[in-house]
Amino acid sequence: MDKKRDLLLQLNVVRKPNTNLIILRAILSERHTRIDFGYFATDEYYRGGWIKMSPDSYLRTNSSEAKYKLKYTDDIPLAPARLDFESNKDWHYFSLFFEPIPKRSCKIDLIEVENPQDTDFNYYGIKIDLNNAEEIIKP
Amino acid sequence: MPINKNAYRRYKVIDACLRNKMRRYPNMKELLAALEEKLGVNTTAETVQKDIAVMKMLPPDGFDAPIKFNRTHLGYEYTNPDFSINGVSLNSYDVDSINEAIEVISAIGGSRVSEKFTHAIEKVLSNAQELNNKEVKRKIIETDYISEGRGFEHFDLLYSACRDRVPVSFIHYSYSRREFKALIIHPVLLKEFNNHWYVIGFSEAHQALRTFGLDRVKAPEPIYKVFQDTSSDVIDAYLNNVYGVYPLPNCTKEKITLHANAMITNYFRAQKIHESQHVEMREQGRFHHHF
Repeated sequence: MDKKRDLLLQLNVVRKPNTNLIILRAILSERHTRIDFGYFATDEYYRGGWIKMSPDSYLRTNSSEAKYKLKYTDDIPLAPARLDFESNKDWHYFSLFFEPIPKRSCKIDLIEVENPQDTDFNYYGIKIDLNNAEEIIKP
Repeated sequence: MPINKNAYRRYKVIDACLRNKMRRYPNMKELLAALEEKLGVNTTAETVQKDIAVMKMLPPDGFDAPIKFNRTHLGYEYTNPDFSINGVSLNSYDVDSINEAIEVISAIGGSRVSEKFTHAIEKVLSNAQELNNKEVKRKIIETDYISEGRGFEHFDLLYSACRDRVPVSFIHYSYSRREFKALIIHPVLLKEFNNHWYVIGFSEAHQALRTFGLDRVKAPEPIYKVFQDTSSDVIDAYLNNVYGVYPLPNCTKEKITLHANAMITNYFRAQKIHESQHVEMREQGRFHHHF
């Protein structure tokens, strides 16, 4: 596998019980591992509530104990800052950029909080299958 | 010998004067006046004569400009009327025409065609800048286009993908289903309807042609993949019997008739709302509009 290639995986994985957060894509590059998310507000809050991401979030793979730390985010604030929605019909797309995981097929966990509640953005067993990866055309 | 910047600016002004078909055969006094007007500095006749001599020299020192003093009209001219010291030969008519075209494009949505167009055209016109420095810009055309529509930032990428036949992965959000999805499409067409832009292409998830509003498209990424092309016939069939951009799924073509009085019929006649529209006059000043 050419390390310089940026690989894109379409995931479209919804977790349970809160199904309003979806992992859409993973992009594996030399510089980072990017995870793209979609989130839509629910009726739980009159104005749709808020979202934020813990700066201590990390990825881990099923093949090692290594933690791949969150480097930066795109369109979601790091806690304690937060993005307040304006209505319970709002929707939001955002990306998280982690330290690069090895480019090989594996399963990854996204850990925002070690002992999570349903509202935390933890995800487990995300399948990274490089046989289904597409290579991104770099500009 | 390299040409210094001030001299080059003078050459461009002299070049523009010699190509100005509205004011042919400029004499020395007119050249000096143009230089003062365009560059804001006084220039001597001696300098201009030296400039003309340099312009007549062969490259790289000069431009091999065919400048001649016309004794009949007592002024200077290019013996080859198409000559310009710039590679692109634009006369004042050309520049005016381009400016008019830019104005029209800007009015009907120049910003939709992105800044790339503006940069390219500025490059062309920079060589004729002296002819183009109309400082007061008065709006002549106005449309109901509202700029800064969401998703328009991807127009360039999707345009290139359609042109070069490159599959694109992007995130799509469905307003009606409240659903996100990462999709791969093989885009073939960008279409505007009611001030909204849409990309149409073969969707791998749907295994069919689909339309996606640019305002709901996020993070498009072009990918290396064999392009699944769609023929023009299929695209036409997809769009022809539709009002707007979204064909109704699993529906067959139907005949639609609208009844209107004579006054309303004026509007229908003035602007068709679909290619298939035709009008039929009925009794007592009533009209049927068939689609």
